[in-house]
Amino acid sequence: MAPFWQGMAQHALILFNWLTIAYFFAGNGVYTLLMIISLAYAVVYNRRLSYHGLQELRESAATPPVTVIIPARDEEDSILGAVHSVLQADYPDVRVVIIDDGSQDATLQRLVGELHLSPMDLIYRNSLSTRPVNAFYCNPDLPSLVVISKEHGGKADALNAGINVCRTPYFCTLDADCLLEPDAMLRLMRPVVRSPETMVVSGGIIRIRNGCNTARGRVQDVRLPSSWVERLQVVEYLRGFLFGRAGWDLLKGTLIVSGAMAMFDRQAVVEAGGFSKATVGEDMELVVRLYRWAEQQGRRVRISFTTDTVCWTECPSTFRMLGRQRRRWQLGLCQTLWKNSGMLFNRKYGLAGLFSFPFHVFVEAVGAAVEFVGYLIVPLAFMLHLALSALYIPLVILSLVYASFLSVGAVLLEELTYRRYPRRSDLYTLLGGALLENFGFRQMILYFRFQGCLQFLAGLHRWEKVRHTADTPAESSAG
Amino acid sequence: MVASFPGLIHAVLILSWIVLAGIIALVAIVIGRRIKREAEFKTLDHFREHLHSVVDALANHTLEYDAGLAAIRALIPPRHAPAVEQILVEELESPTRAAMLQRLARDLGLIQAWQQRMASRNQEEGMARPGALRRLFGLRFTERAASAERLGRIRDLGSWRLLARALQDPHRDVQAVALRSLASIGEPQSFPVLVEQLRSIVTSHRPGLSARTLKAALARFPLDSAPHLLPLLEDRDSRLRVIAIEILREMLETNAGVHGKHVFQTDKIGPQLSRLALTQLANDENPDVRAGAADLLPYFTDERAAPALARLCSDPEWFVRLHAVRGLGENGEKYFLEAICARLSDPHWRVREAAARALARGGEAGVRWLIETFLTTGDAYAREQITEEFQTSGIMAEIVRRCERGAASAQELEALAAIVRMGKTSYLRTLQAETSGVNGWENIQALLARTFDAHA
Repeated sequence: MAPFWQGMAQHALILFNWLTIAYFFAGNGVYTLLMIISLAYAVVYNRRLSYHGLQELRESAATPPVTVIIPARDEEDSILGAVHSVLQADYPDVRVVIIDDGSQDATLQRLVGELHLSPMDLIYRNSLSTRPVNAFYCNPDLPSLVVISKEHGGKADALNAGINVCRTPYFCTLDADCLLEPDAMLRLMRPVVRSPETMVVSGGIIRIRNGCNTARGRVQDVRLPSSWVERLQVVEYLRGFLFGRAGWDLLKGTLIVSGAMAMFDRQAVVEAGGFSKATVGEDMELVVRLYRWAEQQGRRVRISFTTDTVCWTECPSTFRMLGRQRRRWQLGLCQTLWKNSGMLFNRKYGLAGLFSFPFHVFVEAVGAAVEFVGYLIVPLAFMLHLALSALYIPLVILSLVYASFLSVGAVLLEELTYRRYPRRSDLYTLLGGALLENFGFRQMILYFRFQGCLQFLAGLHRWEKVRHTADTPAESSAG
Repeated sequence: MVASFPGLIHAVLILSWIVLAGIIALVAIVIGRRIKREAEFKTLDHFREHLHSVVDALANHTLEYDAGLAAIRALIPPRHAPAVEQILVEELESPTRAAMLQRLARDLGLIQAWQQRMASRNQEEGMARPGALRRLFGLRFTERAASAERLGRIRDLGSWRLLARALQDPHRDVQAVALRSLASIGEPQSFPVLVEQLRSIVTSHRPGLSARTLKAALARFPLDSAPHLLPLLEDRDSRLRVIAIEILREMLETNAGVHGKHVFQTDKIGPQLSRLALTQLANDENPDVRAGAADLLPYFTDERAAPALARLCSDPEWFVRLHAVRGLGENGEKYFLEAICARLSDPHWRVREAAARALARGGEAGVRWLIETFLTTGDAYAREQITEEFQTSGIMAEIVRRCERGAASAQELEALAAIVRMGKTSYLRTLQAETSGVNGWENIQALLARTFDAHA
């Protein structure tokens, strides 16, 4: 290599080196802070459980009614489980709206057959614009349930159609492959009722149900899945939910509430314009937009995250599907952050604008690219015989070891608080997964996220459908 | 550049070793804790089982009270005290054994211990000694809150003053739980205290309990306490009036749930409050108050209630009309169904929807009005709304069944034919497929066939 180019490359690598170091300390510093906060939060929360008062909420005439909105497209295997879990929900007044978003399989037929629904000519009022509705299906003996069949318009469009027929002050979104915990809605409603501020969104922990035994919409026996692709996602979810989102909630900087199940203030969502069809991460986009809406309206609102489990979802069981899911998540993140970039370091949004939003931009979005490129730089540095290569190896070792520390910390948090995996063998597997996930799996996820970043830069807007073929038996009418 | 800082590489490596040691420590903690917890749970399960058998024996009078008390004392393991208390409370809260169990809690020293902990005095004497971790994190508020919760669950009347004082506790959790416990105990003297607390929260905007939490607690009191809401209902601040109405409505609703709707005596809430609700609130200048009054009035058997609701059906604000229509539907006064019918042509769709629903639920008379309005109105929106209600409420299915038996009236047949002409035949097709054609139903079938052919 010519000395000029070698010099240029060396300078570029040195610059990137410092960038990587800065990223490493900033990112992991925040993660560590979140872990410490979440640990303290979980201990307090656990003690609070002895006087949580769900019974009062259950019996009170003041507990607001809630509509559960379930968007579904090609979910013939899982939709009935989700519906049964909602119909059995422990909540004083719950209504259900299921939106069949142009399914090409037997989703609608299964619903009609199982719930004895008949087509009806109802009035559809488009307060949020959606693709045309083809038909309504109801059963006069199940007056709290309605199924809407509409032209395919995407998840956001289906959710908006559900909001259009929702008559309750709060609604809950629920993915069609999810099973609701029996008292999930009470747990989500508790912060809404208790908060002196207006609570516009309330979310909770989503857990993976692959491997669990389920029947008639209920998780009967919590177990780990059999494949490592799924097991490592369990560890990932623990880390993401237990000390990621719990920590942000305590800092009042929640930007991500999983749309798999979350409760929303209907009026606020309608005024903010509903779910956006312009992004593939419609749940996060709406949460961020609600901050902006509240600021524009001069209203003080709160977005809450409860560390209770609210629902069980199916995770991808193959790397191909996992790749689709993670690319979509990263693309949605980038789109949302770009669309709402006015929040960056903006004091008007409090800690959400000053701390949480920048963290998501620089660590979660840009950081994925920096980390991925970092992995490529190591062999490059070796090939170029750069003096810097001596530092790369220790740094990579430190980053891997520290990531394992954080993952094991998440398992500790789970053990200190919720202990949802009763078998000791499952606990050992979780610990093994926490140590192993950083050697290969994490890098693969990073690759998918990097692809998501590239999709964003290329201006792609495509929803990659994830099909589930997990080892969870499909729910059927026979249960 | 970096080569000039060889110390940096060493520092990174040392840091890696430290983190690795941290991982090993965390793994050891996780496994150790799991093993310890499993042993603890086994002990607690054993305790729960024995306690249950002793309490059962006491309730069945197969064991003398003193012997039972001694047996429970002997059962209590020296450790895991907070968990033991929790199990005791769960066992003690059975309503059928309330008196005996309250006595047990007192004689076991639990009530005193909870009261002491709530007052943050002499904590070391309680059954649950605060651990080092809790002291470190300043988690004593959780003990005060848990004690307040237990006093509420055991419904210890003597603790109400202590709980009322806890409303001023620096921690919001303790305030909220004390409030809930006061509602559980239901001591009438505490109601005015809570009313004042509500006033202070709404008017001063100070941080603390939410008005909704206070409202829920007040609504759990017996209806006899309702006259204490009078100052709030007459307050100049409309927010207080609205909240007080909501509390009163929830009290009435709870009472109606227990004793059956419309059977409560007006003297339970006092003549002054009845008069206020029937006259002043229904004519309040604030629309939210009027809407609230519309929710209240269905619970009054007084003859002035239905006319007041009928008047509110013509209120300038759509949401007042919505509540009034719903209220009138609940009221069950058939004479006023006409007032609901008029709202089927309301400019706001929510009112039209509520009116159709109220009539559909109004028994035979309501359905007759609905059909008649459907056939006579020139308002296309009203007809659409009624058609929707015919389908979802099961009225259409009922008419078709009557057609099949040849028992459908001419009006009902005419209504079905009109629905077919409107093209709203999706549900009729399903019903048609499920029935065999006899008598009047044949006419409908012929009509349907013609319509379908035309559409085809």
